[in-house]
Amino acid sequence: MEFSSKQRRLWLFAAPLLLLGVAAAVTLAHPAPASAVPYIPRGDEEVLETLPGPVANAWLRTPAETAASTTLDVAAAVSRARAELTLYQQSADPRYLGRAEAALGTFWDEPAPPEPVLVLRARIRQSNHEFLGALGDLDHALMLSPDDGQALLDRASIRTVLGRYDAAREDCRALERLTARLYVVVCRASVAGSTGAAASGYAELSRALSSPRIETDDKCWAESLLGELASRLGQRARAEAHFRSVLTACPTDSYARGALADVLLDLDRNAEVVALLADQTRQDALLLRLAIAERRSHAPEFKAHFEDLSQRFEEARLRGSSVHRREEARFELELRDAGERALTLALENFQVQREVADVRIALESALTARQPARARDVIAFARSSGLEDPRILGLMASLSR
Amino acid sequence: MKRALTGLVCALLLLLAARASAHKPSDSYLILQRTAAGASGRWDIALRDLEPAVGLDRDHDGMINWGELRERLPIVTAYASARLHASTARGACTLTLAPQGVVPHSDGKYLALGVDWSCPRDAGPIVLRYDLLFDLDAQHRCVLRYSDGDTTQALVFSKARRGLTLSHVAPRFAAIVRLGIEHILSGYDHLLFLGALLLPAVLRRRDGKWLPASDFRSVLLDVLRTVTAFTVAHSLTLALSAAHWVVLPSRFVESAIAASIILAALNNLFPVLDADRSLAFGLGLLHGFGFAAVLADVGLAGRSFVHTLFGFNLGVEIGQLAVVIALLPVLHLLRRSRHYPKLGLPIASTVVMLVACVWLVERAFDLKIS
Repeated sequence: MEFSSKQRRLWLFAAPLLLLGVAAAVTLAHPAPASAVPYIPRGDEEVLETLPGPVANAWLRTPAETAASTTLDVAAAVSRARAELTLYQQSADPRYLGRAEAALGTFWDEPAPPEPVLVLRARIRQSNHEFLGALGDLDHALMLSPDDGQALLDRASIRTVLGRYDAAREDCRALERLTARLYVVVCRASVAGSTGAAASGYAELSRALSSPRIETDDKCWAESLLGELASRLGQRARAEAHFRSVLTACPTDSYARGALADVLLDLDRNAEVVALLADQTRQDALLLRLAIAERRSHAPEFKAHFEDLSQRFEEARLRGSSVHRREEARFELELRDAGERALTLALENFQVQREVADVRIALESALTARQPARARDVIAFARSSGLEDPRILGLMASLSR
Repeated sequence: MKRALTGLVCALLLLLAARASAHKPSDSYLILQRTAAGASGRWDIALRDLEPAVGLDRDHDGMINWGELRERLPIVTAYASARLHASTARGACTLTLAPQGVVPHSDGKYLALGVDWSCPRDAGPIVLRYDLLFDLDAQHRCVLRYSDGDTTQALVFSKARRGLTLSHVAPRFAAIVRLGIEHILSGYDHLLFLGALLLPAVLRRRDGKWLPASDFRSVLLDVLRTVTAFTVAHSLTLALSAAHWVVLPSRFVESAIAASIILAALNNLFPVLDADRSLAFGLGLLHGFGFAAVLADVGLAGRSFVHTLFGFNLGVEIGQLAVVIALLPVLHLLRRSRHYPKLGLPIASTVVMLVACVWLVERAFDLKIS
């Protein structure tokens, strides 16, 4: 059958209508996809959640305890908060931080709470990266009791994180007559590590650590710093040995684990990073390093871990949290190749904290984003503080080229 | 549009099934949608957070299983509902919480609670108050996603910010006009109805037969009259319905709109009503109620009624005019076609009618025909 021109014109009209009808039918037959929906577990025995270690359950409290928790008993509040804070330090689970804060009850919101509360509040704020608030609390606490060694040590470490090295050194000096030598040396060495005196800091800390009577926790803490100082001096093998030794003595030390992973990543020993971190996926910082190693070694697990991380950063963004900006910058830079975005995050992070890792991620991002001008302040800071890390010096040289 | 947006939001929030359980601060997730009665949606609360609050691990084995949770659901629901309140200027809203099962998030399983608020009528914005868990975890937050017609708001409750107002973001005039355009262009039923009305525009009925119209100018006039009649009719009922003066159940309106298309198509096949205008006007009245349903989603309450109504209607007319202008050249071509009256018109009308029949059955009996 031949189509006349008029028939063709007729189809001109009928065809669109037909298509319209089909489109309408298809639209109706396929409603918008449903989001992931809740499900009813198959049976009563299905385990939904495994609880992490001890939980201070409010429902287990006796009525008297509940009453006590609402009265103004400083000692009880402080001891409960301290217990939660210890759990936080052991597990790195931020829920314990929130519980520690809650344990302080109404003291938390007081402008001038008792001194022990101030020190604890500073600790919690520091863990939440509210460094300035923490600093205020410690200033206040040290006014009330100038001989509080813990408060001095904490303030020195916050001042170091903020790049206020002269002030930090003052705290270390004040500490000398108050506390064990190891603490004083750690205090000084950590400032030294950021100000171009890593070698002398390393030597002094090594000597202090050779003393036989040092508790395991203190030893792990101090030796992690040794590893960091070695790494600052470009002595990677020595740094690796220190971090491994920490992990032997304190296997749950996630700081040392992350630092060791960083040393290995710098040496491109990705398989070892995967082995080190494969079962450490709960913490964003460790999962991030694991995913970097997996990406570099084309491991199949990378995709799932990348998605996990994306989701976690998205969740943090939704709740308005910015605690992990340094990690997020590294995530953008190393896993998403988004230099520009990484630089923005790294610079925001640099306004909050100025440790060597913060400087490094900012410089790396600026280099990838080809925007050396935006890293000007970071470079100026690194120069003025005398940072000696060979990686950072290399980055600065590339950026000023 | 709204459904798609909500779907997107949910997908974003609940990109679930994380393999690696995360260490994460305590959050609950509240996804709400505006409803005619108030707001409804879902509230996900971590089992780990409920444990210290109400005690789920009854056998103290360090694990929470479904049996333990199921047994405690009434207590959990009571605990939660005592800590989430909604109110309006005219009084409190009534909350219904219904457990929906469990849902995984990045840090473990959460209890999903269906949320449904019924608020006093026309009482303005809803104010929420959230008090869950702050006494046990001061860093606890609630991430709230509230979608309201076309806009979605992300809000966060925290210890310091326990009250939030589900503000009704008044869309700008341009956005309302665009909504109208989008609605007419994506609402195939209105276009199909218009199409069915315009199919015979190039023909004239004489002695029971379709004959080509004498000139294109008369075709244009005919189209203009039909479109105007349709516009006047649906604007009228849109206004009546938006002002709540005449309210018809939506299922009836949707079904009636499908029926109106069938009638218009039937009238092309077996002309009963001579004048397209009366058909366009009479049945056009129904379509106005359909438009009103879209406006109700955007929400007219408490804002410039005339402003919104006018903007939306303007958008509808712009979209409609665009379609008619696109159809005019086709009509011009068809006018002279010998086969159009005997073949083109019946086929096109039959197709339109069949599609409308499917819609009618689906809408009237509330089922889906794939």
